[in-house]
Amino acid sequence: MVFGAAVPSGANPSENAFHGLRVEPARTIPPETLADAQGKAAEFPLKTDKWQLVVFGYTHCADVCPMTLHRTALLLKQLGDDGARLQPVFISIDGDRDTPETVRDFTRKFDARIVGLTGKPETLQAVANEFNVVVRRFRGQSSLAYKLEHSSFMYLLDPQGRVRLLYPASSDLAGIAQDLRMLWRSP
Amino acid sequence: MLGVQTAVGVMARRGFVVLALTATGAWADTVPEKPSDPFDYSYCGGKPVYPVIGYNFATVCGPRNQIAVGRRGQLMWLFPSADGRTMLHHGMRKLSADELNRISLLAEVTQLAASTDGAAGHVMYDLGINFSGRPNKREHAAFTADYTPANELFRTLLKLVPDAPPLPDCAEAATDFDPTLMPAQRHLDPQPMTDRHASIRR
Repeated sequence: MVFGAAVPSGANPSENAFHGLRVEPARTIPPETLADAQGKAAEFPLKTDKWQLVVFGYTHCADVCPMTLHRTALLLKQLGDDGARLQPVFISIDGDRDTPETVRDFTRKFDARIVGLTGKPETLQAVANEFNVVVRRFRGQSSLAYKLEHSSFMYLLDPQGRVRLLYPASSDLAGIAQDLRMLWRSP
Repeated sequence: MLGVQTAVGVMARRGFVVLALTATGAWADTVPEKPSDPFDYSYCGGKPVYPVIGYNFATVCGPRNQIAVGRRGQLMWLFPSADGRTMLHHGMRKLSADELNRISLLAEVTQLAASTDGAAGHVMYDLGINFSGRPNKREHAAFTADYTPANELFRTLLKLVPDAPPLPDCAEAATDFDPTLMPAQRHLDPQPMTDRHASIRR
């Protein structure tokens, strides 16, 4: 008997080429109708020829959400003119409290190019479920003072609305920028 | 409480580990505890928890092998003898935080990726992943050198096991079969694999 003879081995260059983790086969996100900063209906994934960097959060969030959006703004700066090819998207997971106005005010603190989306709780839940985002609610001192704990990944979608790369929130920005330029160079 | 029930049942049935995973409700119910570290997305009672991961894998003429990671970060493996009647290698060890972080990340991206079709292969596996509070991920696939998150996760787990699994070269060409069955049963499986794929795909 030969042990392990059938196991393919060796380093995997296709994964190592990116700093993010490749989602392979790419996952197609079915469209859902959310609300944009003006309260108008907006289909997500956005109809755009840009790549979309999607993060989930909520405007009452005190730690990971502001940090992630701040880092998103830094990424846009790092990309320079190429930043026009990337559309950052912030999706609220708190439809009970996050109105289009509060989401707009929140995202604009970091960079006006970040698109903020909110909507009905059940629609936001459906979108989050497509990304396997987990959300837990923790009671506060009043019914509106709760906190949410949630997945903090960044998801890179191609213009076809497919998730292509996954990044932990603390990923190196230069690595993300390098990944994007590599993707934009490829046919 | 979060509507989640998870059980990793290590059953002695025919000497094999049986992973039983059930989960209900992927969204938030209100819980009274304070949030933990906001970067720990797998919070559970203040202690780190990890996804439950299980692989059944085999060559078509080889025994059914199993590798699993438990909620508290234990790696377990069961490699039977060629006839499946005795245990060739088995063991358990606690993984390091770095190892678990890497595995959790690969499990995360595996869960997110679209499932691959069950193409024929020399080594086939059935994979199950359960993150606390999320739907289960199931996948039936051929293990190849190609990059998929499920292949990469499997490759990573194999490297962490000190024993080599029995994966004998078989006379058959690459084929699609159910690695959870005993070798003698694989040729008798009345359910076409294509139907089975449809049932385990998300």
